[in-house]
Amino acid sequence: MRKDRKYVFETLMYRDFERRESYYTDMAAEGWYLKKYGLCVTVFERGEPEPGRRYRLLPKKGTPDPEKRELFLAGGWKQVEASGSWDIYYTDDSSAEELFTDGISYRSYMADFSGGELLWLIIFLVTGIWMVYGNLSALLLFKPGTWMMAVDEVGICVLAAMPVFLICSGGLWIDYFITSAGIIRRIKHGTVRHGLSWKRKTRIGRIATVLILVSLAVVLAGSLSGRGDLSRDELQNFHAEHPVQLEEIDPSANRVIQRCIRTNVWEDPNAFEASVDSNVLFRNKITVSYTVGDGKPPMYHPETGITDFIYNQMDYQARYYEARSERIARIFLEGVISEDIRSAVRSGDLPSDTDMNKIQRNVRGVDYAGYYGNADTAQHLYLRRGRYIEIASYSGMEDSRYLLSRDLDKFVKNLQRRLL
Amino acid sequence: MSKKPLEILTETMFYVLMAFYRQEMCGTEIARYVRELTKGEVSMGPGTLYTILSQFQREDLIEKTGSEGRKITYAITERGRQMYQSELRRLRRCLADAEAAGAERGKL
Repeated sequence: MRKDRKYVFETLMYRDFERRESYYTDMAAEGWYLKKYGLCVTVFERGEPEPGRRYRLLPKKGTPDPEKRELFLAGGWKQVEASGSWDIYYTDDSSAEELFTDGISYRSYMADFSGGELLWLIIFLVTGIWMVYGNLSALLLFKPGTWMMAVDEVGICVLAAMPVFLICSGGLWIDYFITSAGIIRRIKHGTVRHGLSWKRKTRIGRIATVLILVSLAVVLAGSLSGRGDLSRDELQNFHAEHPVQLEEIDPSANRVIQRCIRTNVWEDPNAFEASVDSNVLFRNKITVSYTVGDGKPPMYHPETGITDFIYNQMDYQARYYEARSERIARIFLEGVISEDIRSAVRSGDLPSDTDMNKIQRNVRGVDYAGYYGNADTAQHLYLRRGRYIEIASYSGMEDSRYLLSRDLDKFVKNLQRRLL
Repeated sequence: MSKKPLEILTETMFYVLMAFYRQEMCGTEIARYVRELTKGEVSMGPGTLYTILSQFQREDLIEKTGSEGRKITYAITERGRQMYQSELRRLRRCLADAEAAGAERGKL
């Protein structure tokens, strides 16, 4: 790297032009002259220290105006040849007048810039409030089960990195907001501040930016690690067999689905996805989802008297967990059920006093079995036996008679037989 | 740039219009002219001058009459003359009122 050039990772707010003026001015006093600037990196070139140099930044306006350049030159101000959205001027003449000597002309010149800043401030404010409001309930309702769901979803490292990311991003957001609001206010009053301090802000900005980049890298690495895809041939429930059959929970629903399987020709499942994963909480975690349909012409259902005139389709999702301990399995399942019930209550699918006990079914061979749903909404099943958890959900047509099929192995085997 | 039409001239605007009232002038000469005329009392930064010239052109108070490289010469328009004279009358009226008020109270 050339010794007469310095590349600085500059994280001063790109639009905090008052501080950047001080920064470039102080660097010139040490013998480093602005050569090029960008969003994050500024290039300086070595020269003789010039303590009397002043830099001033103005927002670019359309195409370069030769007359403006001539007027500025006549006033003792030269322009730095650097691309970007700012015109940067400097002078070594201590007697040169400031670029603007009255507030009205300054305000007039900066009107477009301050209008744009105000618009961005409003967007930032609305976005920030929306993000805080959207996540506030999750933060306030922190429970061990919720925490485990987050670890399962994103991984422990990612979960640790997220607060760092949020705090640093939030800090930069607040700083941007305060700085921009101050700039807009000063422009409105036709004033500008020179000689602002920049060192502490630069140091904090660099640290925050590095932390944000590192936490983003952790989040990305966490999302890519530990996953593997499964084919339909490889898919297997890691129970020896299903702990419970639908006919034990909802016999009438099971009769309907069995009849549908017998009487319909199911097409190849599309959008079939299955993957295996592991993390600090679960030794094994298998996720399955698929969509199937029959594509048949309208079908009449004598038990309901309703004819389906549209493509019959069902969506199935299941997750199978082998937790590292029974305690983890119990707390995790409680968290999942609480969250699902909360969501169902909000959407009106369940009464507000619903809890784990209210959806529990008496099923032999399991430590817990919970089920809720009906033909018009999605059906949900939750099972736990020791360290093993099974969570399945199904949603069909609004008026579908195809209810939850618990017999996944049998169903898939049926599909395979029909396709052969 | 401000989109509102000019109603009252600032001090700096007044002196710029005054400069053009006398004769055609190049933009780069105006700052020196005003500084010499006011003996340094009124100073004008290049950004201020540029903004005023742009605004005057938009308001049709001055017009371009020639160019030499990057130097452009302007002349005052009829509307500019009227604006200058109107402002001059306003300032004289203010001064006269101030002097009269001072005479009434026995102070000046």
